This record gives sequence, C-alpha cells and structure tokens, in this order.
Amino acid sequence: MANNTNFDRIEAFLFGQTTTEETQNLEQQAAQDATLAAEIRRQELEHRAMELLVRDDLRSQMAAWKMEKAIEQPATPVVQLKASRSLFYRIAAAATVTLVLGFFARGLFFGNSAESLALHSLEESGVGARSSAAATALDPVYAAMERQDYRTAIDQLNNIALSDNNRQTAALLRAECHLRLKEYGAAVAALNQMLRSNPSDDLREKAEWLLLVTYVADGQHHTEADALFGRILGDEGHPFRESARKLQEGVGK
Amino acid sequence: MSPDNLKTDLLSTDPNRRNRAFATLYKSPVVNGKIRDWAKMYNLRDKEPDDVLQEAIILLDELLRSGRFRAESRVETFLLGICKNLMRDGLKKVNRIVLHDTIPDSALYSADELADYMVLSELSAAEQNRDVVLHETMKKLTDKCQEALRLYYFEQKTMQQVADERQLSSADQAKKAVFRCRQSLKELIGNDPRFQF
Repeated sequence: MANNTNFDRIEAFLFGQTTTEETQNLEQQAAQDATLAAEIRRQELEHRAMELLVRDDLRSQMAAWKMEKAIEQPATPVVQLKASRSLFYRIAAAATVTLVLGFFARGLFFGNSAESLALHSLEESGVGARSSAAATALDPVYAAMERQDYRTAIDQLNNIALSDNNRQTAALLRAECHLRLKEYGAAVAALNQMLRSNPSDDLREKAEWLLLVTYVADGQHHTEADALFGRILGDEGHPFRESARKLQEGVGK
Repeated sequence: MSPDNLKTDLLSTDPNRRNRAFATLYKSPVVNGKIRDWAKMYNLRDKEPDDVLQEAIILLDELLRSGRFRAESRVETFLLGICKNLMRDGLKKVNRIVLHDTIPDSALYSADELADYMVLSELSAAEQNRDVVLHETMKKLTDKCQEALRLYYFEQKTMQQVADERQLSSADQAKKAVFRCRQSLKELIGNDPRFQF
C-alpha cells in the first residue's frame, strides 16, 4: 500500500483534500479504468466504515452523558398533548356550537367541522390504497391498511427494502397512513417531499389531492390550501377536480 | 461554558475539547426544553426526544468535521434547527445535513427559520443495509485496530499524531499499525460477497 500512489490519491480525494483539477483528473481516469474505479469504491467503503466508527464512538459518549443528565436534570414527563387537547376541544366545541348558532360564517367554521368534511371527501374520492393484481413488496402494507392498521403499515414501510419502482408509491402510502392517523404534520411533510421528487403524473395528482385534504383537515395552512385548490380546479384533466370542487363548496371558500 | 468557548471547542482538533463541547450541548436545559416542547407537536412514533437530540448531535458532528458548518451561527440554535427538521420530516434515516448555499443572517438566530435552509439527505434502504454489513465487518477487527483507524479518520491525523496518542515509538510505527489495520479492513470488505466491485 505504501507504494500504491493510487491509494494516496484516493485518500486525499475522499478526505476532500484534492484541488478541483486533481478531482476531475481522478474522476476522468476512473471513468476509463475499471480497476481504478473499483479501488475508489473499495476505499469509499473503508471510509464509510471508519465514519461509522467515529459516529459509534460519539453515541457511546452520549450514552454515558445520558445517565449523567438523568441525575443532574430529573426528567419531567412529556405531557401528551392529546389529554389536554381533549379537554381543550371539548370546551372549544361547546364554544363553537354557541358561536355557530349565532354566526354561521366562513372563517369561523374551521377546526373539527372542516376536518370531518375533508376526511369524508377523502373517502368519497376513492383515492385510498389499492393493491395491484401482481404481488409486490408493498403487499403487507396494503394488507395492514385494508385492516385500517395504519401504524403497522408505517412500521412495515420502514422495514421494507424499496426499489426505484415502488419508492414513490411507498411515500404516498406513508402519507396516507399519517393522514388517516390525523398526524397532519407528518402527512404534509411526506407529501411535500414526495412532490419534490418528480413523481409520475398519476402519483402527483394523488399526492396533490391528499395534500389538499390534509391542509383542510388540519386547518393550519389556509394559504397553501387556497393555492392548491386553485391548482387542482384549474386543471381540467385533474382526476380529483370534482372532489376538490365539492370540498371547496363544503368549507365555504 | 460560554458560547465563544463552546464554538472554539467544537472546532478544535482535540477530541477531549470537542467531547466537552458536545456534552454541554447534549445537557443544555435550553436545548432539551425546546425539544420536549416540540415533541408534543410532532409524532415521534416510538422515539424519545432524547433520541432526536442524539441523532442531531451526530449530524452536527459530521457537519463540523466536513467543514460545511463553521459555527457562524449560535451553535445551540443550529442544533435545534437540525432537531426541528428531524421531527418535522418524520424521523427518517438521515445520513447528513445539506445546507442551502446562502442562509440569510436573520435565519441564523431562529431555529425555525434555520430548519428551512437545511435538507436532510436520507439513507436509502441499500445504504442502510450497507451500514449494517459494515458494522458487522468492523466488529471483526481488534479494539486496537478500531481505535487506530478511528484516530486516523477522525482527525485525518498524521502518523506522528497517531504515534504520540498511542505511545508508539515513531511515526513509522504508527504508519505500520494503521497500514496493517487498513489492510485487514480492506481484506474483510473485499472478501465479503455482499459488497460488489
């Protein structure tokens, strides 16, 4: 290895110590020399192994600090918002009923009612997960969603080895599971990430519809919902245009 | 630890100073409090707020070692920006943080804003499998080899520095030790059919 100048060049490249010209030279040579290319891949793996060593060492340190932190800063329980949220919404629902009776107006009619309408629209639109006739790696996910066990479906999505063919479909399924679990933040994040990944038209249209339903159900993204209403309703060929129109009428926009 | 000392220690090549700085960040009541608050808003699934913090510190360490972050902003704020991103994006398996080319000054003081200027580079399923296999491979090396390689890689140390830290008689001795360990690692990787070349 001491006499192998390729080793030193590749090391410098992998450590980011080469000039732009040296990097280009190496890449051009590797494109024409399979042996050199294999050497680079091998050394990349060695570097990745060493990177993992460094990360594991830091994790070990943090495991020790965690015990120290537990002594120095006794943990206060993370109050699950659901418990206090439940009480909040009971009070809010009572107040809302009073307000709605007197003020049946747009802008006040959001929260639980819009959420119910949005989720009803989701069911009516028929966008839900449907498995293909042929067996695929996603079949266990479809099966779990069929049972309405969306948490299990998400766990399975985390453990399945995805290929390029099914990665975007998996992202859409994950988003749908989060939506059905009313985890709107996670659904929004998953759908936006999926839309940024240049999906096929079919998947993009489904993702746009799911995202609109999520925005309306969540009641937090009025600007984004308006923009998405405009986009879907302005696209005459959009398969969920009619569903979006009904939803828009329902929420009084 | 003052913010300036924290920054200096994080950028130091001395592992002890860096560890001291990371410990300060990890135990920071401000950081922990903020993460616990956010944990109420986001679904962390089966993870605890502390898991998010640990993952964020791992990513911050990688950013510092690569030179992509030079602590231009307040480090706690930056760390919280990473945490927010992790929680917001569903806690996927993240390999590294990629920063936008330009981050406005106003964003440097707000974790919420900073989070919008970061992109989480995820590990693909194949990359996750690769790391599992590499972990298995590394376990076959002796502790001394793992330590020598970690030192060599961590600070891209010169052989003299490795010799000093391992109390070897010379840089040549250190070079031979690291060389032997690299050779072992190369053979383990090369002989594993799960890696294709």
